[in-house]
Amino acid sequence: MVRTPTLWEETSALMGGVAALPEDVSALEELAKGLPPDAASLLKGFTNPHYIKMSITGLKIFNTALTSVLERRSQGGKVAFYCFSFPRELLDAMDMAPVCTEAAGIIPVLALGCEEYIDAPINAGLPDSICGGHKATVGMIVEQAEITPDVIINAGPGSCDPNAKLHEWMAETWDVPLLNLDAPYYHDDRSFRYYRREFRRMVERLEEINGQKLDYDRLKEILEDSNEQIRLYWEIQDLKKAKPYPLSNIYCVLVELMKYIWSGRPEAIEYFRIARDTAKSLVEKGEGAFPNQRARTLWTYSGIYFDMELFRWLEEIGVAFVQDCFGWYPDKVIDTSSIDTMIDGLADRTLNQPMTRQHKGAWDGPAGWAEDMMFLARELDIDACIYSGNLACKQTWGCLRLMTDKLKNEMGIPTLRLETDILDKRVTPTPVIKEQIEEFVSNLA
Amino acid sequence: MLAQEADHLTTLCETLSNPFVESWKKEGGKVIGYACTYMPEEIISAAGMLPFRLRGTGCVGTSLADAWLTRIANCSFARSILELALTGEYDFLDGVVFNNGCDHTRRGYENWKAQENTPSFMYMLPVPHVLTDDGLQWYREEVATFKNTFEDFFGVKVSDESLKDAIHTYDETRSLLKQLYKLRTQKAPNLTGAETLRILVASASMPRDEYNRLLKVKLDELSNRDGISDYRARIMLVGSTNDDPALVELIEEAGGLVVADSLCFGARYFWDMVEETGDPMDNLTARYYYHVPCPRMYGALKERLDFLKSATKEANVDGVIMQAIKFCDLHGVENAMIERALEKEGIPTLKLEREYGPLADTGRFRTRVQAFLERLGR
Amino acid sequence: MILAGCDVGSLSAEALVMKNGTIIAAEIIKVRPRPEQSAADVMGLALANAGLGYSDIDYCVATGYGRENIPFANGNVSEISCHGRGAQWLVPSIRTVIDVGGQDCKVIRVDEEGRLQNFVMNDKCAAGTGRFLEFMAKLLRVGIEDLGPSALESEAPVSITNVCSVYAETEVLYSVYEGRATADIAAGINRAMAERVRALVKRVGVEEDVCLTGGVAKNAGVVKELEEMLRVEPRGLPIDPQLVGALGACLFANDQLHGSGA
Repeated sequence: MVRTPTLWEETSALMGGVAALPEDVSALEELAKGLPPDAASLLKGFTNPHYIKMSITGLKIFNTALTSVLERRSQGGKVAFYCFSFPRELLDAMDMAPVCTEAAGIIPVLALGCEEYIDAPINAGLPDSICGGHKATVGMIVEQAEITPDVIINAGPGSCDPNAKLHEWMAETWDVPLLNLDAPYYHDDRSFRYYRREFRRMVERLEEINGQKLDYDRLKEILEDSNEQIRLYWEIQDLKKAKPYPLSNIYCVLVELMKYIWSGRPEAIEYFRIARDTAKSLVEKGEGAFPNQRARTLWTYSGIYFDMELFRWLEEIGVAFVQDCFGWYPDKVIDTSSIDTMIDGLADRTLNQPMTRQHKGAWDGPAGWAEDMMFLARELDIDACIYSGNLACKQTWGCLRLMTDKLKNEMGIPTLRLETDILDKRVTPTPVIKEQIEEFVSNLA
Repeated sequence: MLAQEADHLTTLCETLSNPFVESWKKEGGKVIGYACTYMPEEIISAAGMLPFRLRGTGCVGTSLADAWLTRIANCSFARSILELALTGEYDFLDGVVFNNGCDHTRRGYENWKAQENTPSFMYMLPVPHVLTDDGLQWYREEVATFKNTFEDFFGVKVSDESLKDAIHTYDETRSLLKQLYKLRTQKAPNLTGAETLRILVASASMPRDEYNRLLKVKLDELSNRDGISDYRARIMLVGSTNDDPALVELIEEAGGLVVADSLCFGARYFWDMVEETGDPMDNLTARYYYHVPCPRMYGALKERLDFLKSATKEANVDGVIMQAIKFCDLHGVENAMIERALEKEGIPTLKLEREYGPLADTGRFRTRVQAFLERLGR
Repeated sequence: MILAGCDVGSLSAEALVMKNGTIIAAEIIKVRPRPEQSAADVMGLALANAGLGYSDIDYCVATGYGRENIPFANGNVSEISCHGRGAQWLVPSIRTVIDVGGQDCKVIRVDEEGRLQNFVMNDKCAAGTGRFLEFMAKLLRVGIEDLGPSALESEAPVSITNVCSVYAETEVLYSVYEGRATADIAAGINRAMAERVRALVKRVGVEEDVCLTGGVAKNAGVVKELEEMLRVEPRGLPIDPQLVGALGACLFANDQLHGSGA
């Protein structure tokens, strides 16, 4: 028997108070005081005074993302779990209830601090080397604190073994259909054609499972919103080039949530508009989002998601979290003139999502990790790189030395190598991480 | 004399290179290393070269490799191979062909490729992760590209004729190995699991024609040998790659005779034949694409489970030991699914985590294996 | 019929002698440098106690880490089977044995005849073994035997969240500097310990009745925490829990002598 309220319901209720907040740092801090410690720490990451409006808009996601799934499901929508590097726009256009596998676990853990769910997959026989990004999600369902999905979309094959294999395990364990998307090794026309065919087969299968065909008009509507989001994203990428850095560090992590959970929704457009407007006005005034900036950093893979407060702390020590790999999606605007152009456009976008794009092939191949990171380091005038070092991340650990050597030798950029669990704060505690970052930054030329 | 020669089959796994490889090189022959069962060896053989399956044999530490792949996230198998590459042990290779089998080995390849001293021909042959018509087409194109690149690089031509010959030779091996495995299904198998593995590793470490000849002699010898009946239980071994007989010996010393497996340096390596009538490239690629799938293939769990279950029946297996190298998620997660499926059908299982290489934790292993046999009531 | 069981672990060694189905001697000692020495010393003591010699033993089974090195043993059985068998013989309703030793932690499931059904073992990581408690007791400057009683007085256990003993040490030290009560820190340590054990238990599931064996079973604080977490009341054992392995070995000696052994 799944417990009531489920974890999502609980998280959603807890974070509901945020939606009604005035745009005022002290109101946010006041709210934080009344919340349990993990939720309070979560809020502290969002307290940059210039970006309160953006932060509150972004924070709403912790409430509404889950609630909207629950609502859709109660209306009969089929719950589809998808690996983060997949466009939810497609699932919205099919009236399904889309759930980003990783976010489904990360959000409740951040808000409720429920680490026991991270430990639960081991009880189901899984090895402890699987990615923390999935442990909580699996754990919650194993412990009957959450409900199983109806279909699983596996976009991991090719770019990440633990991710893809876990999605297979989930489908097998909960006896639901598994839709695999095989990412080809290269990044050329042939690869895109192969992937488009893969994608189409997946869409057909999804239509069968969903019991209704894709609605062209609905998809067009959603993609036009998604396109607007992308245009704003690119504007902001340009604004990032300004010195001093004009965005709050929390922008980057919210951008990921906007993409993985909220892509194509009006809330996401609102978020990006506020971010763009705020950044623009700061740039016009020649101001930074926070004072005494001393380093522009590129996080070569993910951020650290178990302690949002770190993002604000970095601002306090003058370190800008300018970009990370997980928040980098070189999306093009999708041609919405026909169903074909839209499906192909979505397929092309999916092959360009973070992790899939950089790791489906050679680390130093076209659109590979090295190429993308060096491009970003150049474009955004980066001083230093930080690799957050999720211990489960075999494919990046496996070529990290090659990557850091290349950045140092060709661009003179050093990389701080951390070792953490992407979600579990008990592995490497925050004080240790802060110490390492502080030492690294103080040693920069 | 012949029987003595056939003894090579049990000793080749103990060293990396061996007298066959050495004399091959001395005579001007080329040796091409490969890592994975998705590599169509026959192409290399048809070109008159010796395919050599990569192992980490002789590696006692990975301190050099750990500076590239890491100790904290990457598997000891990939690290051992890289270590041997970095210390020059693989200098006898003229080329190396990897597949993107898993995150560890594909990064292992990239680290190797980035070194100054590498075999002159380094190639990555990517394989789809799903079994579809489209995927087969992709795989065909990749293999064709590989063949052309390989031919151009070495200035050789692989004719359809020579390919057909190679396929014939390899199919012969496959039939012989199936016969070998049949011996293990008997109530009193003629050979241990450890010996079986030795013979298998030998197949990928010496010229194939010669191997077939010796294997026939060995099969003859084995069929006439007294069967083994003093064992406590019949065990099937599944999981991460293993080319080290010591792992199997450990299980067998406790009394668990290993009578079947679904390892990639085991049954999955040779179970399926290549069709011999028709276009050889088509037949070759179809067989390699569709052979008993590795856990890296998504949507193929049922095929793997069916293979496992039929093997347990054929060999009258009492219990299944599933091992995974630390950090091997493909097998680690797969083992969780196999455990569930088999226990549901009343087949007892044991899950073990291990490292590749000299087994540092033999004591811990022995306890678990012994307890498992005690659980089986044997 | 005189049967003997000898359990040579990494920190302690036990010997137990039964005559016609009754325990007539049992000893526990700290291990010597070599397992043969430990076995000889502890068995020597037990036999002396019972007024017997080696030649009086009809059959002896050895178990534990050093089981393969005992010259006077006629056979050996894994400590996993022995703990399960011994506990179930003492309390026939036992179906799950949680053995928290000095260096490892095991959860053992048995059937109504003490036969091994399933097991899981952690012997890689200090957290969840006696070593964790020893380490922590040193930090707190208390004897390991005091961790239990002092914790029972705690009203507000300190929260120790780090999975790794190394970082947990920092948390404990910090609590000491902050002036937290020893009782509260001890309770926090016991809770952290119990959490690791619970994680292991969940991997094979728990069927009642449950009992605890191994040295840590004597720590009332950990036992209390585990009770709350697992929502079971472990059954007490009528003999020192550290002797359960040797007892099981003795029972297997009986089986093996009569040809039906493991």
